[in-house]
Amino acid sequence: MANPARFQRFAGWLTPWLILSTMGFLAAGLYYGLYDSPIDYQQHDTVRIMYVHVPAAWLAMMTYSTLAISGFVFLVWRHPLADVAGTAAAPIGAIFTALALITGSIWGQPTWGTWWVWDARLTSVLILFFLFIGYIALRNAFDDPTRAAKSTAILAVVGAINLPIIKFSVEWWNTLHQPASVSRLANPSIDPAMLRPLLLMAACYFCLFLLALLFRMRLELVRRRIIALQFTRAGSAEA
Amino acid sequence: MSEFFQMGGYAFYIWSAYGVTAGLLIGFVVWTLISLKHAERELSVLEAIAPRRRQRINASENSNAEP
Repeated sequence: MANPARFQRFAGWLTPWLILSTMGFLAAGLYYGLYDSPIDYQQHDTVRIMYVHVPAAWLAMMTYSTLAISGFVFLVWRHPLADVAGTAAAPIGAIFTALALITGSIWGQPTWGTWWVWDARLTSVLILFFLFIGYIALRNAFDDPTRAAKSTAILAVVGAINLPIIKFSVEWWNTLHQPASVSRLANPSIDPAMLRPLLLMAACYFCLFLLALLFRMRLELVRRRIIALQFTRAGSAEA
Repeated sequence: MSEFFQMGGYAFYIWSAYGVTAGLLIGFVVWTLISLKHAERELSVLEAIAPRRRQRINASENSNAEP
């Protein structure tokens, strides 16, 4: 995986499988989520928002882990592909976090009676969104790619402190947000008929995440070669 | 069928949540693919101008990437 050409071959082989599994999980997830699952005795049909909201929040945190790990790998081993992965992951994370915030807000209105509340969970997820945006902005702020890579890697690693804060925010502080229902997979406090569409949609989101990551890494590799070619052309024009 | 779309009276909330999700995710994927096509076209133009240099860069890239 170390070399870009081998990465491209691997990505090309994996892509059709990922498209297939994304579509499969999506179809099954939508069928069970919107149609063949019970309504909640308190939330009625609004519980169906869970199947797009919770996977978005999970993937937002997973994408940030990807960002932090690639930042760490870049800082320790200076591996260029780690920096490419970080650059590719940041906009994906911003999208998933935005989706978690928007769908959560749409869910909050009928169940809590408010679109937004400044409590620990919602605020820490909003901070997660700003971390992704900040990562993208910081990268664009540098002309020198090496300094950009180093600075964004440090930001990603330091910002990882927000992940446990998000995770435990519902236990450490009083909040409207309910605590985790699927924290123990062996004995989750959620009806199996609701767990099924939730996990199917999560699998769909995960495959989509991998697909988006591969495509955005390809995009970043092409962009870097363009810059390298322009650089050598400028160099030879001067000589 | 219309009962399904009414979602027990919560149609607005449920369909807007699913709609925003579909819209943002599809939009993001399309934006990524369009950017990739643009970048690949630009790269092929540059490579056509300097085919010999491209090979040299490829070779040096591969030797650099493998630590």
